[in-house]
Amino acid sequence: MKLHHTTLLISLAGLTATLAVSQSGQTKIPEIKDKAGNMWVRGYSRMRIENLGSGKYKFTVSTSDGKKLKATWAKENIDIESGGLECLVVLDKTKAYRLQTATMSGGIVANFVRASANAQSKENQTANIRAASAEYNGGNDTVTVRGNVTLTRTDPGAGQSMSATGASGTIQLSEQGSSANAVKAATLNGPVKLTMTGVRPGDDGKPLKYNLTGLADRMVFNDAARTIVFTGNVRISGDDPTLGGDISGVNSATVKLTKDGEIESIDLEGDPGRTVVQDKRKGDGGR
Amino acid sequence: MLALLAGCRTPSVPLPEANLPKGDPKDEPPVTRTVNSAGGQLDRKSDDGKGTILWSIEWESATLEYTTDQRFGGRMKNVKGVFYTQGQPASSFVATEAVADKGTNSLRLIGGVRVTNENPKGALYCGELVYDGVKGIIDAQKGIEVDYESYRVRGIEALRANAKLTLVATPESFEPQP
Repeated sequence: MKLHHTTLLISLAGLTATLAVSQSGQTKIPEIKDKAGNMWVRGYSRMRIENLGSGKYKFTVSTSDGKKLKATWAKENIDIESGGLECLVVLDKTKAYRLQTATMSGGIVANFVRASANAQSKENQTANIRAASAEYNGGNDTVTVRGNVTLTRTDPGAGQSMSATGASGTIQLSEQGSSANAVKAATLNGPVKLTMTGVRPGDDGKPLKYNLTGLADRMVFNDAARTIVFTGNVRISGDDPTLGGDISGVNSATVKLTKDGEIESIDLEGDPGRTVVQDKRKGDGGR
Repeated sequence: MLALLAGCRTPSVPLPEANLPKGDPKDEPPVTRTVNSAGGQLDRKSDDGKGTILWSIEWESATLEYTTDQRFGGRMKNVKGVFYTQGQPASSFVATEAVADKGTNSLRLIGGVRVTNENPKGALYCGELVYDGVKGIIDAQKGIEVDYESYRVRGIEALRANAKLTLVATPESFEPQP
Protein backbone atom coordinates (compact mmCIF):
# COMPACT_ATOMS: atom_id res chain seq x y z
CA MET A 1 0.00 0.00 0.00
CA LYS A 2 2.82 2.33 0.90
CA LEU A 3 4.55 1.49 -2.32
CA HIS A 4 1.42 2.40 -4.20
CA HIS A 5 1.22 5.70 -2.37
CA THR A 6 4.83 6.51 -3.24
CA THR A 7 4.25 5.56 -6.82
CA LEU A 8 1.22 7.81 -6.93
CA LEU A 9 3.23 10.72 -5.53
CA ILE A 10 5.99 10.17 -8.06
CA SER A 11 3.43 9.98 -10.82
CA LEU A 12 1.78 13.19 -9.70
CA ALA A 13 5.16 14.92 -9.45
CA GLY A 14 5.97 13.78 -12.96
CA LEU A 15 2.63 15.01 -14.22
CA THR A 16 3.15 18.39 -12.59
CA ALA A 17 6.59 18.70 -14.13
CA THR A 18 5.23 17.71 -17.52
CA LEU A 19 2.51 20.33 -17.32
CA ALA A 20 5.00 23.01 -16.30
CA VAL A 21 7.23 22.23 -19.23
CA SER A 22 4.24 22.15 -21.52
CA GLN A 23 2.94 25.50 -20.34
CA SER A 24 6.40 27.01 -20.51
CA GLY A 25 6.83 25.66 -24.00
CA GLN A 26 3.53 27.11 -25.13
CA THR A 27 4.30 30.59 -23.96
CA LYS A 28 7.68 30.58 -25.68
CA ILE A 29 6.28 29.87 -29.14
CA PRO A 30 5.40 33.19 -30.74
CA GLU A 31 1.91 32.89 -32.10
CA ILE A 32 -0.71 35.04 -33.76
CA LYS A 33 -4.27 33.74 -34.05
CA ASP A 34 -7.49 35.22 -35.22
CA LYS A 35 -10.31 34.69 -32.78
CA ALA A 36 -12.45 32.81 -35.27
CA GLY A 37 -9.76 30.14 -35.54
CA ASN A 38 -9.26 30.57 -39.27
CA MET A 39 -5.74 31.96 -39.25
CA TRP A 40 -2.72 31.23 -37.17
CA VAL A 41 0.92 32.14 -37.60
CA ARG A 42 3.56 30.50 -35.46
CA GLY A 43 7.32 30.37 -35.02
CA TYR A 44 8.32 33.86 -36.11
CA SER A 45 10.97 35.96 -34.42
CA ARG A 46 9.88 39.31 -35.82
CA MET A 47 6.37 40.51 -36.41
CA ARG A 48 4.39 43.59 -37.27
CA ILE A 49 0.60 43.91 -37.24
CA GLU A 50 -1.06 46.99 -38.59
CA ASN A 51 -4.77 47.72 -38.45
CA LEU A 52 -5.45 49.41 -41.79
CA GLY A 53 -9.08 50.14 -40.96
CA SER A 54 -12.29 48.79 -42.54
CA GLY A 55 -11.50 45.31 -41.22
CA LYS A 56 -8.20 45.08 -43.07
CA TYR A 57 -4.97 44.06 -41.38
CA LYS A 58 -1.43 43.75 -42.60
CA PHE A 59 0.74 41.09 -40.98
CA THR A 60 4.48 41.00 -41.54
CA VAL A 61 6.38 38.16 -39.89
CA SER A 62 9.83 36.70 -40.37
CA THR A 63 12.32 34.37 -38.80
CA SER A 64 16.03 34.46 -38.17
CA ASP A 65 18.80 31.88 -38.57
CA GLY A 66 17.15 30.29 -41.58
CA LYS A 67 14.26 28.92 -39.55
CA LYS A 68 10.79 28.64 -41.03
CA LEU A 69 7.58 30.07 -39.70
CA LYS A 70 4.26 28.36 -40.27
CA ALA A 71 0.98 29.94 -41.27
CA THR A 72 -2.41 28.41 -41.88
CA TRP A 73 -5.72 29.63 -43.22
CA ALA A 74 -8.35 26.97 -42.60
CA LYS A 75 -11.17 28.18 -44.84
CA GLU A 76 -8.75 28.85 -47.66
CA ASN A 77 -7.11 25.44 -47.15
CA ILE A 78 -3.67 27.00 -47.28
CA ASP A 79 -0.59 26.03 -45.29
CA ILE A 80 2.60 28.03 -45.66
CA GLU A 81 6.14 27.52 -44.41
CA SER A 82 8.55 30.32 -45.18
CA GLY A 83 11.33 32.49 -43.84
CA GLY A 84 9.28 35.63 -44.28
CA LEU A 85 5.63 36.37 -44.88
CA GLU A 86 3.77 39.58 -45.55
CA CYS A 87 0.05 39.20 -45.88
CA LEU A 88 -3.06 41.25 -46.16
CA VAL A 89 -6.17 39.85 -44.52
CA VAL A 90 -9.72 41.09 -44.23
CA LEU A 91 -12.21 40.31 -41.52
CA ASP A 92 -15.29 38.43 -42.70
CA LYS A 93 -18.73 38.25 -41.07
CA THR A 94 -17.61 35.40 -38.83
CA LYS A 95 -14.65 37.47 -37.59
CA ALA A 96 -12.29 35.22 -39.51
CA TYR A 97 -9.21 36.67 -41.17
CA ARG A 98 -9.50 35.82 -44.87
CA LEU A 99 -6.28 35.87 -46.84
CA GLN A 100 -6.19 38.43 -49.64
CA THR A 101 -2.53 38.48 -50.60
CA ALA A 102 0.63 36.89 -49.29
CA THR A 103 4.23 37.58 -50.20
CA MET A 104 6.44 34.70 -49.12
CA SER A 105 10.23 34.75 -49.05
CA GLY A 106 13.25 32.99 -47.64
CA GLY A 107 12.45 29.59 -49.13
CA ILE A 108 8.81 28.66 -49.18
CA VAL A 109 6.59 25.62 -49.08
CA ALA A 110 2.91 26.21 -49.68
CA ASN A 111 0.15 23.62 -49.72
CA PHE A 112 -3.24 24.29 -51.27
CA VAL A 113 -5.76 21.57 -50.48
CA ARG A 114 -8.85 20.67 -52.48
CA ALA A 115 -11.27 17.74 -52.43
CA SER A 116 -10.26 14.78 -54.57
CA ALA A 117 -11.26 14.76 -58.20
CA ASN A 118 -12.60 11.32 -57.36
CA ALA A 119 -15.89 12.07 -55.62
CA GLN A 120 -15.81 8.64 -54.00
CA SER A 121 -12.50 9.32 -52.26
CA LYS A 122 -12.22 10.81 -48.79
CA GLU A 123 -8.59 11.76 -49.41
CA ASN A 124 -7.88 15.32 -50.47
CA GLN A 125 -5.75 16.42 -53.37
CA THR A 126 -2.92 18.86 -52.74
CA ALA A 127 -1.00 21.35 -54.81
CA ASN A 128 2.38 21.67 -53.17
CA ILE A 129 4.55 24.59 -54.24
CA ARG A 130 8.21 25.02 -53.33
CA ALA A 131 10.24 28.01 -54.41
CA ALA A 132 12.67 30.63 -53.23
CA SER A 133 9.84 33.16 -53.08
CA ALA A 134 6.20 33.43 -54.04
CA GLU A 135 3.26 35.77 -54.15
CA TYR A 136 -0.28 34.57 -53.59
CA ASN A 137 -3.26 36.54 -54.82
CA GLY A 138 -6.50 35.39 -53.19
CA GLY A 139 -8.57 37.41 -55.66
CA ASN A 140 -7.87 34.93 -58.43
CA ASP A 141 -6.13 32.14 -56.50
CA THR A 142 -2.90 32.67 -58.36
CA VAL A 143 0.63 32.06 -57.13
CA THR A 144 3.60 33.69 -58.81
CA VAL A 145 6.79 31.80 -58.01
CA ARG A 146 10.49 32.47 -58.44
CA GLY A 147 13.64 30.44 -57.91
CA ASN A 148 14.01 26.65 -57.82
CA VAL A 149 10.33 26.11 -58.35
CA THR A 150 8.73 22.73 -57.77
CA LEU A 151 5.02 22.26 -58.30
CA THR A 152 3.58 18.95 -57.19
CA ARG A 153 -0.04 18.01 -57.47
CA THR A 154 -1.10 14.78 -55.83
CA ASP A 155 -4.55 13.26 -55.76
CA PRO A 156 -4.28 9.84 -54.09
CA GLY A 157 -8.00 9.30 -54.39
CA ALA A 158 -7.82 9.67 -58.15
CA GLY A 159 -4.47 7.90 -58.44
CA GLN A 160 -2.88 10.89 -60.13
CA SER A 161 0.19 12.96 -59.52
CA MET A 162 2.08 15.60 -61.43
CA SER A 163 5.35 17.23 -60.57
CA ALA A 164 7.06 20.03 -62.43
CA THR A 165 10.21 21.99 -61.79
CA GLY A 166 11.29 25.29 -63.26
CA ALA A 167 13.00 28.56 -62.59
CA SER A 168 9.89 30.72 -62.32
CA GLY A 169 6.25 30.71 -63.19
CA THR A 170 2.63 31.36 -62.46
CA ILE A 171 0.24 28.82 -61.01
CA GLN A 172 -3.49 29.29 -61.00
CA LEU A 173 -5.33 27.17 -58.46
CA SER A 174 -8.87 25.91 -58.73
CA GLU A 175 -11.59 27.72 -56.82
CA GLN A 176 -11.64 27.11 -53.09
CA GLY A 177 -14.05 24.31 -52.25
CA SER A 178 -13.78 22.92 -55.76
CA SER A 179 -13.03 19.27 -56.47
CA ALA A 180 -11.56 20.05 -59.86
CA ASN A 181 -7.84 19.71 -60.46
CA ALA A 182 -6.17 21.74 -57.73
CA VAL A 183 -3.94 23.21 -60.43
CA LYS A 184 -6.21 24.98 -62.87
CA ALA A 185 -3.35 26.29 -64.96
CA ALA A 186 0.39 26.64 -64.69
CA THR A 187 3.10 28.31 -66.68
CA LEU A 188 6.65 27.43 -65.78
CA ASN A 189 9.75 28.90 -67.35
CA GLY A 190 12.78 26.78 -67.58
CA PRO A 191 14.47 24.79 -67.91
CA VAL A 192 11.33 22.88 -67.06
CA LYS A 193 10.88 19.25 -66.16
CA LEU A 194 7.45 17.65 -65.84
CA THR A 195 6.77 14.24 -64.38
CA MET A 196 3.29 12.73 -64.54
CA THR A 197 2.06 9.46 -63.19
CA GLY A 198 -1.41 8.01 -63.34
CA VAL A 199 -3.49 4.95 -63.60
CA ARG A 200 -5.84 4.20 -66.48
CA PRO A 201 -7.59 1.12 -67.78
CA GLY A 202 -5.24 -0.91 -69.94
CA ASP A 203 -6.16 -2.66 -73.16
CA ASP A 204 -6.96 -5.75 -71.11
CA GLY A 205 -9.19 -3.75 -68.82
CA LYS A 206 -6.78 -3.96 -65.93
CA PRO A 207 -5.46 -0.78 -64.28
CA LEU A 208 -2.34 0.43 -66.07
CA LYS A 209 0.14 2.73 -64.40
CA TYR A 210 1.86 5.18 -66.68
CA ASN A 211 4.71 7.70 -66.43
CA LEU A 212 5.46 10.72 -68.58
CA THR A 213 8.50 12.98 -68.37
CA GLY A 214 8.76 16.21 -70.34
CA LEU A 215 11.74 18.54 -70.58
CA ALA A 216 11.54 21.95 -72.24
CA ASP A 217 12.36 25.62 -71.95
CA ARG A 218 8.76 26.39 -71.07
CA MET A 219 5.63 24.53 -70.04
CA VAL A 220 2.02 25.65 -70.05
CA PHE A 221 -0.57 23.45 -68.40
CA ASN A 222 -4.26 24.18 -68.86
CA ASP A 223 -6.71 21.95 -67.03
CA ALA A 224 -9.79 23.27 -68.83
CA ALA A 225 -8.24 22.71 -72.26
CA ARG A 226 -6.65 19.51 -70.93
CA THR A 227 -3.34 20.38 -72.55
CA ILE A 228 0.30 20.56 -71.60
CA VAL A 229 2.28 22.59 -74.11
CA PHE A 230 6.06 22.30 -74.08
CA THR A 231 8.14 24.76 -76.07
CA GLY A 232 11.85 24.99 -76.71
CA ASN A 233 14.25 22.05 -76.67
CA VAL A 234 11.44 19.62 -76.02
CA ARG A 235 12.12 16.07 -74.92
CA ILE A 236 9.33 13.74 -73.90
CA SER A 237 9.63 10.23 -72.66
CA GLY A 238 7.44 7.76 -70.86
CA ASP A 239 6.30 4.20 -70.58
CA ASP A 240 2.70 4.63 -71.68
CA PRO A 241 2.09 2.78 -74.96
CA THR A 242 0.05 5.76 -76.08
CA LEU A 243 3.27 7.72 -76.20
CA GLY A 244 4.70 5.32 -78.72
CA GLY A 245 8.28 6.35 -78.00
CA ASP A 246 10.63 9.02 -76.75
CA ILE A 247 10.51 12.38 -78.47
CA SER A 248 13.30 14.91 -78.79
CA GLY A 249 14.50 17.62 -81.10
CA VAL A 250 11.19 19.43 -81.54
CA ASN A 251 10.42 23.02 -80.71
CA SER A 252 6.90 22.43 -79.48
CA ALA A 253 4.83 19.54 -78.22
CA THR A 254 1.25 19.54 -77.04
CA VAL A 255 0.17 16.72 -74.80
CA LYS A 256 -3.59 16.32 -74.89
CA LEU A 257 -5.16 14.71 -71.84
CA THR A 258 -8.46 13.00 -71.35
CA LYS A 259 -10.87 14.33 -68.77
CA ASP A 260 -9.47 11.73 -66.40
CA GLY A 261 -5.99 13.08 -66.84
CA GLU A 262 -4.76 10.31 -69.09
CA ILE A 263 -2.60 10.97 -72.13
CA GLU A 264 -4.82 11.13 -75.19
CA SER A 265 -2.39 12.32 -77.83
CA ILE A 266 0.81 14.21 -78.41
CA ASP A 267 1.14 16.70 -81.27
CA LEU A 268 4.57 17.83 -82.40
CA GLU A 269 5.08 21.16 -84.10
CA GLY A 270 7.83 23.51 -85.24
CA ASP A 271 11.07 22.95 -87.01
CA PRO A 272 12.54 19.78 -85.66
CA GLY A 273 16.19 19.24 -86.35
CA ARG A 274 15.74 15.60 -85.47
CA THR A 275 12.83 13.66 -84.06
CA VAL A 276 13.52 10.37 -82.36
CA VAL A 277 10.72 7.97 -81.69
CA GLN A 278 11.40 4.91 -79.66
CA ASP A 279 8.66 2.37 -79.83
CA LYS A 280 8.41 0.86 -76.38
CA ARG A 281 6.68 -2.18 -77.70
CA LYS A 282 9.66 -2.92 -79.96
CA GLY A 283 12.33 -2.38 -77.37
CA ASP A 284 15.28 -0.43 -78.76
CA GLY A 285 14.62 -1.19 -82.36
CA GLY A 286 12.37 1.63 -83.30
CA ARG A 287 14.93 4.30 -84.24
CA MET B 1 1.78 75.86 -5.32
CA LEU B 2 2.55 73.07 -7.66
CA ALA B 3 2.10 75.56 -10.39
CA LEU B 4 5.85 75.51 -10.26
CA LEU B 5 5.62 72.01 -11.68
CA ALA B 6 4.98 73.08 -15.19
CA GLY B 7 3.52 70.36 -17.32
CA CYS B 8 1.71 68.82 -14.41
CA ARG B 9 -1.77 69.36 -13.19
CA THR B 10 -1.95 70.10 -9.50
CA PRO B 11 -2.19 66.86 -7.54
CA SER B 12 -5.46 66.50 -5.73
CA VAL B 13 -3.62 66.10 -2.46
CA PRO B 14 -2.21 69.33 -1.00
CA LEU B 15 1.52 69.24 -0.32
CA PRO B 16 3.14 70.47 2.91
CA GLU B 17 4.16 74.11 2.64
CA ALA B 18 7.53 73.27 4.17
CA ASN B 19 8.39 71.09 1.18
CA LEU B 20 7.96 73.81 -1.36
CA PRO B 21 10.98 75.58 -2.78
CA LYS B 22 11.54 79.11 -1.58
CA GLY B 23 12.90 82.11 -3.42
CA ASP B 24 13.41 82.71 -7.12
CA PRO B 25 14.43 79.45 -8.84
CA LYS B 26 16.59 81.43 -11.24
CA ASP B 27 18.89 82.46 -8.45
CA GLU B 28 19.50 78.96 -7.09
CA PRO B 29 20.47 75.54 -8.47
CA PRO B 30 17.49 73.20 -8.81
CA VAL B 31 16.47 71.61 -5.58
CA THR B 32 14.66 68.30 -5.41
CA ARG B 33 11.81 68.00 -2.98
CA THR B 34 10.06 64.82 -1.96
CA VAL B 35 6.54 64.41 -0.72
CA ASN B 36 4.52 61.37 0.19
CA SER B 37 1.03 61.49 -1.15
CA ALA B 38 -2.13 59.51 -0.65
CA GLY B 39 -4.48 59.27 -3.62
CA GLY B 40 -3.95 61.84 -6.29
CA GLN B 41 -3.70 62.53 -9.96
CA LEU B 42 -1.81 64.64 -12.41
CA ASP B 43 -1.36 65.26 -16.10
CA ARG B 44 2.04 65.23 -17.70
CA LYS B 45 2.39 67.85 -20.41
CA SER B 46 5.08 68.35 -22.99
CA ASP B 47 7.91 70.70 -22.13
CA ASP B 48 8.17 72.08 -25.66
CA GLY B 49 6.18 75.16 -24.78
CA LYS B 50 2.96 73.85 -26.29
CA GLY B 51 1.93 72.09 -23.14
CA THR B 52 0.39 69.16 -24.99
CA ILE B 53 -0.89 66.54 -22.61
CA LEU B 54 1.18 63.32 -22.84
CA TRP B 55 -0.33 61.13 -20.19
CA SER B 56 -2.46 61.42 -17.10
CA ILE B 57 -2.25 59.24 -14.05
CA GLU B 58 -4.12 58.58 -10.84
CA TRP B 59 -2.65 56.75 -7.86
CA GLU B 60 -3.64 55.41 -4.48
CA SER B 61 -0.32 56.28 -2.84
CA ALA B 62 2.87 57.85 -4.09
CA THR B 63 6.25 59.26 -3.29
CA LEU B 64 6.64 62.24 -5.56
CA GLU B 65 9.70 64.25 -6.43
CA TYR B 66 9.65 67.68 -7.93
CA THR B 67 12.31 70.26 -8.53
CA THR B 68 12.52 73.99 -8.51
CA ASP B 69 13.25 73.91 -12.26
CA GLN B 70 9.81 72.59 -12.89
CA ARG B 71 10.40 68.88 -13.36
CA PHE B 72 8.32 66.10 -11.86
CA GLY B 73 8.93 62.48 -11.00
CA GLY B 74 7.97 59.87 -8.51
CA ARG B 75 6.88 56.37 -7.73
CA MET B 76 3.17 55.67 -7.54
CA LYS B 77 1.22 52.63 -6.39
CA ASN B 78 -1.98 51.16 -7.81
CA VAL B 79 -2.26 53.46 -10.75
CA LYS B 80 -4.61 54.04 -13.63
CA GLY B 81 -4.63 56.64 -16.31
CA VAL B 82 -4.67 57.57 -19.95
CA PHE B 83 -2.02 57.67 -22.67
CA TYR B 84 -2.42 60.59 -25.05
CA THR B 85 -1.16 61.06 -28.58
CA GLN B 86 -1.21 64.48 -30.21
CA GLY B 87 -3.17 65.74 -27.25
CA GLN B 88 -5.98 63.21 -27.68
CA PRO B 89 -6.77 60.23 -25.43
CA ALA B 90 -5.47 57.08 -27.08
CA SER B 91 -5.76 54.30 -24.52
CA SER B 92 -6.27 53.64 -20.83
CA PHE B 93 -3.99 51.79 -18.47
CA VAL B 94 -3.83 50.22 -15.04
CA ALA B 95 -0.79 48.88 -13.20
CA THR B 96 0.46 47.98 -9.77
CA GLU B 97 3.15 50.60 -9.85
CA ALA B 98 4.31 53.52 -11.94
CA VAL B 99 7.56 55.45 -12.07
CA ALA B 100 7.83 58.85 -13.69
CA ASP B 101 11.30 60.14 -14.33
CA LYS B 102 11.94 63.81 -13.81
CA GLY B 103 14.27 63.99 -16.78
CA THR B 104 12.10 62.42 -19.45
CA ASN B 105 8.56 62.46 -20.73
CA SER B 106 8.26 58.73 -20.18
CA LEU B 107 6.13 56.80 -17.76
CA ARG B 108 7.13 53.33 -16.61
CA LEU B 109 4.39 50.93 -15.53
CA ILE B 110 5.33 47.87 -13.52
CA GLY B 111 3.31 44.82 -12.53
CA GLY B 112 -0.06 43.68 -13.79
CA VAL B 113 -0.01 46.18 -16.63
CA ARG B 114 -3.08 46.40 -18.84
CA VAL B 115 -3.52 48.91 -21.63
CA THR B 116 -6.94 49.04 -23.24
CA ASN B 117 -8.44 50.80 -26.18
CA GLU B 118 -12.16 50.88 -26.89
CA ASN B 119 -12.22 51.72 -30.56
CA PRO B 120 -10.97 49.50 -32.02
CA LYS B 121 -11.33 47.29 -28.99
CA GLY B 122 -8.06 45.85 -27.83
CA ALA B 123 -5.88 45.19 -24.83
CA LEU B 124 -2.20 44.76 -24.15
CA TYR B 125 -1.16 42.79 -21.05
CA CYS B 126 2.42 42.72 -19.84
CA GLY B 127 4.63 42.78 -16.78
CA GLU B 128 6.25 46.09 -17.55
CA LEU B 129 6.15 48.89 -20.09
CA VAL B 130 7.50 52.32 -20.81
CA TYR B 131 5.37 54.90 -22.54
CA ASP B 132 7.20 57.64 -24.40
CA GLY B 133 4.65 60.42 -24.30
CA VAL B 134 6.39 62.54 -26.94
CA LYS B 135 6.69 59.76 -29.51
CA GLY B 136 3.45 58.11 -28.47
CA ILE B 137 5.15 54.71 -28.33
CA ILE B 138 4.70 51.88 -25.86
CA ASP B 139 7.61 49.50 -25.22
CA ALA B 140 6.40 46.42 -23.39
CA GLN B 141 8.15 43.38 -21.98
CA LYS B 142 7.56 40.38 -19.71
CA GLY B 143 4.57 38.13 -20.17
CA ILE B 144 3.24 39.98 -23.19
CA GLU B 145 -0.17 39.21 -24.60
CA VAL B 146 -2.12 41.24 -27.09
CA ASP B 147 -5.85 40.59 -27.05
CA TYR B 148 -7.12 42.66 -29.93
CA GLU B 149 -10.68 42.77 -31.20
CA SER B 150 -10.10 39.96 -33.65
CA TYR B 151 -6.67 38.45 -32.94
CA ARG B 152 -4.33 37.38 -30.17
CA VAL B 153 -0.55 37.52 -29.96
CA ARG B 154 1.43 35.49 -27.44
CA GLY B 155 4.92 34.28 -26.83
CA ILE B 156 7.00 37.32 -27.70
CA GLU B 157 9.55 38.79 -25.34
CA ALA B 158 9.33 42.44 -26.35
CA LEU B 159 6.70 44.51 -28.10
CA ARG B 160 6.47 48.05 -29.40
CA ALA B 161 3.07 49.58 -30.09
CA ASN B 162 1.46 52.89 -30.75
CA ALA B 163 -0.78 54.23 -28.03
CA LYS B 164 -3.99 53.25 -29.83
CA LEU B 165 -2.67 49.71 -30.30
CA THR B 166 -3.45 49.86 -34.01
CA LEU B 167 0.18 49.03 -34.73
CA VAL B 168 1.98 46.38 -32.69
CA ALA B 169 5.35 44.89 -33.55
CA THR B 170 8.51 43.40 -32.22
CA PRO B 171 10.73 46.43 -31.59
CA GLU B 172 13.03 46.07 -34.62
CA SER B 173 10.02 45.71 -36.94
CA PHE B 174 8.02 48.65 -35.67
CA GLU B 175 9.19 51.00 -38.39
CA PRO B 176 8.08 49.87 -41.85
CA GLN B 177 10.85 48.06 -43.71
CA PRO B 178 11.97 49.61 -47.00
